[in-house]
Amino acid sequence: MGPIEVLWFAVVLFFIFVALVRGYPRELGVTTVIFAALFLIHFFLGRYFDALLRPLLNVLDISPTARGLEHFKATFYSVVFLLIVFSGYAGQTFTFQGKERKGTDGLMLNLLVGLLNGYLVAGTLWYFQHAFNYPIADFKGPDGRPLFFTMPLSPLATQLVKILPPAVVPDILWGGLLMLMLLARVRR
Amino acid sequence: MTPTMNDLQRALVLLLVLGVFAYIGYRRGFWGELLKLVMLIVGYAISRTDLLGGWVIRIINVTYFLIRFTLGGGLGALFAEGGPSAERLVSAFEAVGARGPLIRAGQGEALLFVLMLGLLILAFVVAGRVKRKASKIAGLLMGAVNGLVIAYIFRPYLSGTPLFPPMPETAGTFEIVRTILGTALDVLVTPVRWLGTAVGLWIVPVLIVLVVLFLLRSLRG
Repeated sequence: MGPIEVLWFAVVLFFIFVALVRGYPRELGVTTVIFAALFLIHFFLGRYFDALLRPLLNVLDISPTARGLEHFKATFYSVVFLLIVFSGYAGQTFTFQGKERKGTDGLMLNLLVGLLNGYLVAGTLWYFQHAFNYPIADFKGPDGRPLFFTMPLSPLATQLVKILPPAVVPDILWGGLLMLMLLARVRR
Repeated sequence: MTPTMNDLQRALVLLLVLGVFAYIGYRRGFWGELLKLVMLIVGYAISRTDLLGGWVIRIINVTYFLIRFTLGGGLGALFAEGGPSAERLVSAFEAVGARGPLIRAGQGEALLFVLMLGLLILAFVVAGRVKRKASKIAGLLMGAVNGLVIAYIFRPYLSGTPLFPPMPETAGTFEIVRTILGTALDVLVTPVRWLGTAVGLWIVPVLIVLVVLFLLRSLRG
């Protein structure tokens, strides 16, 4: 595979396509769920995860290596985040009320919300990798080449890491944005 | 000179930009596009210190100087009882002079960039509100001219490196897709990167909030 930023961008494009199909009132519901996921993960897991994990490992009598722990944490955070995001798409969706704009305006709004959701989801997944020293880069194919992306990071990726959502947004703002979305949803 | 592959790619991107702006001009009409053109040119001139930018910085510094002078006792010295007081005037001048200008040499680029960006956004907002009717073809042509000006304004950022990195002749489909995705990402991220460098990374959460507010506002009823 290629550099991580290309993989990241492909995921962003995927979200843009999904938004073009579903429309921005539905996608705003997903944005709300993403804000909730980011707030929960940062506020609760960021503070208490290590404190909960240590006694659990003691009880189970497991002493993983430092790298093994990084693998576990990155996977756990990513899976929890993806499960919450998936809940925004599955079943009863959290659609915003109101008349959807049509034509070019609607298209641009769909693009914009797709870009926002893609940036939030793909950026957060990348951040989890970055925070735990890219455990996924350890997976290699039979020919010894990396399965997902190549390391070290390119100059562009080094700059992008600085603007990933969890890296630049304080956790309290995720809570604020969640409140804003809920208020907007109730008001309509 | 024989055109290279990079020249061809650059020309394709330019054509794409022209096409998009021509279409916008066709939809919005001539007068809005004309107004946009004027504001684009003014915005570009402001972003360059050798054009209007230097003048803008001087105006800001002079205004700052006058405010400091007034607040620092200059006005009191001019209208003192028994006529203007030269000593107090000189001391007010010296106090302002000691502080130096608000924008020093080499510090104005970020401000000018933000001003230009503000004008570009304003140009798009104002142009969308012009309702005066004119020929759609004239709008299309004026839109294409705007596309050309935009491409010209941002050309230093696009022409720094070859648009697409050279690909080996044996590159497979996956390699080609990867290269195109990487290049598209680079073009998309470049404006955010300038903004981050010019004003700081705090702009990213602000942008997120603005996008969310904009999206919420666009739901009617």
